[in-house]
Amino acid sequence: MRNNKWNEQKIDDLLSKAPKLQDTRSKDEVLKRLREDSRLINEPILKKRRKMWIPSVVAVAAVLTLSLFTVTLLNQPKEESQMATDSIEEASMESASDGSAEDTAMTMMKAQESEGAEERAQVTTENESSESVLNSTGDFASAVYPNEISDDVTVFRLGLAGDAANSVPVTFLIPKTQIVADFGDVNPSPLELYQTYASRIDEVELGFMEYHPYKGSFSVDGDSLIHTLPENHGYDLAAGTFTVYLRTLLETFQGYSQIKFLNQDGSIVEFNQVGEPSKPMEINDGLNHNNYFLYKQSNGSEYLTPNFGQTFNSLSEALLQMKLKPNDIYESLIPPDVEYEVENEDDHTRIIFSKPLDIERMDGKSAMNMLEGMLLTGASFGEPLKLENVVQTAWNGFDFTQPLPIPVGANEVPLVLK
Amino acid sequence: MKRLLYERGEFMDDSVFHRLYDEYHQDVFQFLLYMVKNRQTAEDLMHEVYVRVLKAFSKFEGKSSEKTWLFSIAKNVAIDHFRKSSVRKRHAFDFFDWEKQELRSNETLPEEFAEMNDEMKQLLEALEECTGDQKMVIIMRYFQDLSIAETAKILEWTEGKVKTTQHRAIQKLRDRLTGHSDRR
Repeated sequence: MRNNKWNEQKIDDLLSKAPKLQDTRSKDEVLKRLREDSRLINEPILKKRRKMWIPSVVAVAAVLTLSLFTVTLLNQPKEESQMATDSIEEASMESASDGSAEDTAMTMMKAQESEGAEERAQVTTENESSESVLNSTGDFASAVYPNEISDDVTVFRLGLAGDAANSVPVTFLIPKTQIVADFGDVNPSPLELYQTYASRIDEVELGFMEYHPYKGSFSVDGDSLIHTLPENHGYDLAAGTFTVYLRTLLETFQGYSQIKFLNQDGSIVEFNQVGEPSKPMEINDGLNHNNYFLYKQSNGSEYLTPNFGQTFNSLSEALLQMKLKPNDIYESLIPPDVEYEVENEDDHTRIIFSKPLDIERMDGKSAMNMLEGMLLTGASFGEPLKLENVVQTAWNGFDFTQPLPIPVGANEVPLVLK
Repeated sequence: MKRLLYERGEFMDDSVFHRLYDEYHQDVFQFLLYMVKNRQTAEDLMHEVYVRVLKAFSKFEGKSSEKTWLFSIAKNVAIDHFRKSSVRKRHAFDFFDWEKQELRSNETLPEEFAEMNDEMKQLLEALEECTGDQKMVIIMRYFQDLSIAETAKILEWTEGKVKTTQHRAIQKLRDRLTGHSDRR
């Protein structure tokens, strides 16, 4: 006999009578645990800064430079003041610059930074007074651009394990002095870079989980990479761990066509999460057809990342989908009132804003995030973008009259070695 | 010497913790406990909520009420918990879509659940079979007494979506409970 005692009214009534549940711990107990949490220990925010000491002479120079910029700012017309403010904050961080900047066409902001990494100053964690400087830095750009690449630096990309069982692609610019010290005059391959630096990079200091180096060993076969995994490697324990494993591989080993997965006896790995012998994973030299969103680590650091590696068939679709918040982990980089269309040309893709986009009226960080998210999405398809219907013809070094450069990597972070 | 964030800055003093605790602690804790149905896990997640809140407090812009801001962080922490403990056999590149999937807790019921009458137990068990969005809305609307507007703000939905989801959740519960009765 069908039991009809459960009607919607009854459910409604019963739900309203659900018992109140209490935390039986005392307030002190809750507070005590918080006091013991290392994440709440006062630490400077590490963002795109090399960890080096500032010699005292340089520190004095920093103050002088800051003063000079302040004077300059006071005499500047309003239109330039934001960039000047940025420059001040840059200068306060990076005034160890000896002026050996290379191609400074990319950004006015970055022009204040020396690309000679040895000269780059990093306020150290021991210096409490430096924190306010670090926290107020106006360095909006986070991606690495072609004009930043020279013989003096080597690009090293790494997928770091984020708090949300995700992978966060980051880019290190390793100074030549470090490369020479570790490799001599030889240009290291992506695998050699990984094998040399992955175990030495302080992921925890950067605000991530300790993940690298991978278990097992790597070898190269032609343009394929082979990951030989030990038994009980654990990368396929759960969907979350498996996603992190594959995504970090994709974001770390650009430069190869595919990755094969082998057991130590040479047989093909069968991952629990797949349930059949694994097929090689295509790497496509970084052209992963993703779009980018804003991701916040629990420590508050922000990164531009793909949405768990969601892929798109076309760049147009990927760019248009950037407007939609995909889930609870990622935020859209496109402000709600910004609308645009996408048009494909032979050698670039045009983004045409529906209303004139006045970047100067936007929050600087939000504007830069939006632009870089778009450019990184373009980069994921190997395609330059041209932005149209922008009020300004140039902003922070971006020349909107031309297709913009394809970023070399996302989320530049300091090379913090253990 | 260890220094806590909430000991140094203009916002981060103990008074922030005390105020948040006094005003919202039991509400947020109850939300987490109903979500995960395990006291120890709820305590861990509550701790995580405080860590995120205290670290971000200076960035709180007052665009939403403090209450909805806290609950939105608690919701994120809960979803993270389910995501991380997800052991479903799924393809690696599938997403964890909390709205469409179940946020099912297989944990042992705490004491309070054991003391409930049979109907309430059946109802809460049926709630575990709802999709994540349905479970979340039922807990917020009925157990936390949050308004439609507050729930919409926390979940970053429209009020219409909250109403629709709530309606579907009640229908789903009725279907499950009727089926449950049939099997008996």
